[in-house]
Amino acid sequence: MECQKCKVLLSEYLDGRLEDSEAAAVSSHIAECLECRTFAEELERTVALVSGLDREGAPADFAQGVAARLERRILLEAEPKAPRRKVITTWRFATIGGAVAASVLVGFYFITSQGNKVRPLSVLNTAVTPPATAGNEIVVQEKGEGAAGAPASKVTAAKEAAAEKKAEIADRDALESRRLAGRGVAEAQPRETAARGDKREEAAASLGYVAKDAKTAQAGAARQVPAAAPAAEPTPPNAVASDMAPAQATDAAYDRYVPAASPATAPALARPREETELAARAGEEAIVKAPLVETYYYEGSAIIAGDTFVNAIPVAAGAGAFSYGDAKAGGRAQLAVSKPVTADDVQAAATAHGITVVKLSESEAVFDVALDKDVLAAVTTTLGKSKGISAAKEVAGPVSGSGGAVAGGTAVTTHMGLDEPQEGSRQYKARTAATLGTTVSALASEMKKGGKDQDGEFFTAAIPATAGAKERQLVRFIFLNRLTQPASAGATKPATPPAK
Amino acid sequence: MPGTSVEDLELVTRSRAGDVAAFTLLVRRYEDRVYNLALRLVGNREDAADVAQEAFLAAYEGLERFRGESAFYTWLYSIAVNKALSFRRARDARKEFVLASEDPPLEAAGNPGEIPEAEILAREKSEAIAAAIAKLPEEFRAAVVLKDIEGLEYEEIAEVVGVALGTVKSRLHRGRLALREALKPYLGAAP
Repeated sequence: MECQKCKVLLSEYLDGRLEDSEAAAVSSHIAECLECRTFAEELERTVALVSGLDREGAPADFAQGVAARLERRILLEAEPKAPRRKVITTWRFATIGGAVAASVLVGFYFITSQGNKVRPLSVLNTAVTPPATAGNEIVVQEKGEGAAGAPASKVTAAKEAAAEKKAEIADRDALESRRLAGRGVAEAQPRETAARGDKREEAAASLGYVAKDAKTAQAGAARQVPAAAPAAEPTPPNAVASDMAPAQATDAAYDRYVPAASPATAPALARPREETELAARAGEEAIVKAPLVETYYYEGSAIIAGDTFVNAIPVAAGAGAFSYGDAKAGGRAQLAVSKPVTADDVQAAATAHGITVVKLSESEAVFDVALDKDVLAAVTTTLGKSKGISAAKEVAGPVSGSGGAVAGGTAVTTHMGLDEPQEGSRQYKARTAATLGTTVSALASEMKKGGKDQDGEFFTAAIPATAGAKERQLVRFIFLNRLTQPASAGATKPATPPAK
Repeated sequence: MPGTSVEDLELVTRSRAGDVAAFTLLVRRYEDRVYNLALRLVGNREDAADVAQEAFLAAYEGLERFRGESAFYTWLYSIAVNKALSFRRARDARKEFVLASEDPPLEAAGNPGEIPEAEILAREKSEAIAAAIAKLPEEFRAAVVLKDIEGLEYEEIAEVVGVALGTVKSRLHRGRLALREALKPYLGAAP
C-alpha cells in the first residue's frame, strides 16, 4: 500500500470502518512505514484530545428560557378570525446583544395604499414617546392615514406604572393562590366570578381603558372593528376603576381585543409557512409565522451596529408573503433611525437616490416609494457610507417569517415591556391578562421571570383579530410550566456547571 | 447515545398536540446534549445556549415534520447543527467573531497561586482544543464534533448533516487532519 493511500484511510481505520482486507493492508503498512505510523499515532491522539474534552451541560435555566420563548411563538401563531384588507406591519427592534448603545437600526414598514383608509390600529397611532430608557431602541412608528383623527393614548408611562403597581399589589395574593394550587387557569370559565371581574377591572384600569360604552356598543360589530384608541380622553386609572361597570361591561370592553372565539369557531392553528406564503401570494388571508426575535437582524431590516454596517435586508417584493402583497399594492417604506444617523443623513441619502421623503423627523422617515429591496438597500447603504460605516453585507434568502404579518389581513408585531407606552402593547396585554384572569402587571412579571433571552424583558406578539385557541395554549403554558416548574428546574441539574 | 425511545415518541406526539409540558420534558431530556453540541459548533457558551434554545424552538415548530423515521435525537441534532452553522455565518457577517478561547474560564483566576499548575495547563489545553475545533471550516467541524464529541456513527452523521456517507468520511478525515496540524504541540504526550 502506498503511503498516500494509507493516510487517506487512516480515519476509517481508526474508527474500525474499513473492510477486513483494507484494514489488514493499512495495518501491515504502518507496521513497516515509520512516517505513516507516526501519522496514525498523531491522528489517534488528535481524536483522543477532541473526544476527551469535558462535556458541558446546559445552563440551569435553559428549559425555562425555551419555555419563555415558546410562549412568544405560540402567541405569534395566533390566526385572525376574519379577513382584513389592509396590511400594517410595524417592527420594533429591541436590544441586540451588546451592540445596542451605539446601534442604529433601520427598520421599515409599509402601509398598503389599496383602498383609502388604513385601519387605525392604535398601536400605530401612538403619540407617546418611548420612555427614556428605551433610548436604545428604534421604534418604527407611523400614523396610518385614516388614523389621523384617532386619538392617541395620552396615558403617560408614569400613570401606567403607578396603576400597574397598584394592580400588582392587589393581585399578588390571587396569583400566589394559583401558584399554590399548582394548576392552570386552563380555559376562560364564564362562571368564574367577581374575582375575575375585579382582575379585569384592574387590568383595564391599569391600561387606562374606559368601558362605559362597552355594554351597548361593543357587543357585536365592535369585534370586527379595529382596536382604536380606547378613549379620547383617558380617565385617570383610579377614576376608571371606580367608575367601571361590573364585570360584564369590562368583559365587553375586552371583547374588542379578545373576540370570544368558541372552541367550535376557534381558528385552526397557523398553517405551515410554505403553505402560508403561497396563500398570501395568492392574495388569501394568511399569517406568516413570525419568529421575529430570531430573525430581525437579518431579515427585513438594516442594522448599523457600532461601526459596522451589518446589513440591509429589506423584504423584497415577492420574497415574503406580506411584502409581496404589499409591494404589489404599492406601499410605503419607512425607515426608523436614531443615533448616530440623523434625520439629515436620511434626507441626504434619500435625495441621493431621488426618493421623496414624505415625513421626516429625528427618529423616523417615511418614503413615498413602494417597498423595494433595491431602494431600501441603496438608501441604507448610502446612510452607512455617510457615516463612514463599513460596507453593507446583504443577505439574500427567503423571508422565513419576519415580523408578524397577515397578508390581506391585519397584524401588528410589537415587543412589549412593562414600560411600553404603545397602545397595541397595552391592548395585547390587557387581552392576555383578561384571558388569564389576572392583571397585566402580574402577567408581565411572570413573563419577565422566564425571559432569559436577548429579549427577556419583552414578549413579542402578533395582534390579529382573534387569538383564542393560541391564547388558551398560552394559558396552559404559563400555568403548567412557569408556575409549577421553576422550583424544580434548577434542582434537577446538579451536574451542570454554570455557563459563565 | 440513546435511540428513539417509545417515550420520546410519546412525548413528541403529545407535544404535537399542543402539550407544552410534554415538550418541556423533551427539552430537559436533550438539553445537555444539544447544548454541548452547540457549544462545540459555535464556540462559546452564551451563543451556544442561545443557539440550542433556538434549536428546540425550531424543533417545536417543526414537530409535524418529524415522522419518526429517524431517531428523535438525530432529527433534533440536524436542527441544532443547522442553527449553529447559520448562526456562525450570521455572526461572521457581523464581524463579531469570537473564538472559543475567548470564553472566560469557568472560574476567574483571581488567585493564580492557588491553582495547581497542572490544572492551568489542562485548562489551556482544553481551550486550545476547543479553539482549534472552532476554527475548522464548518463542514469539517460538524463532522468532527458529531463523531468525536457526540459519538454518532457515520450513518447518523450523514443523516444529521444531510450528505452522503462518503462525504461524511471525507469531511471527518479532513477535519481531523486539520486538527492534527492545529494541535501539534499536544500530540507528543501520550493520549
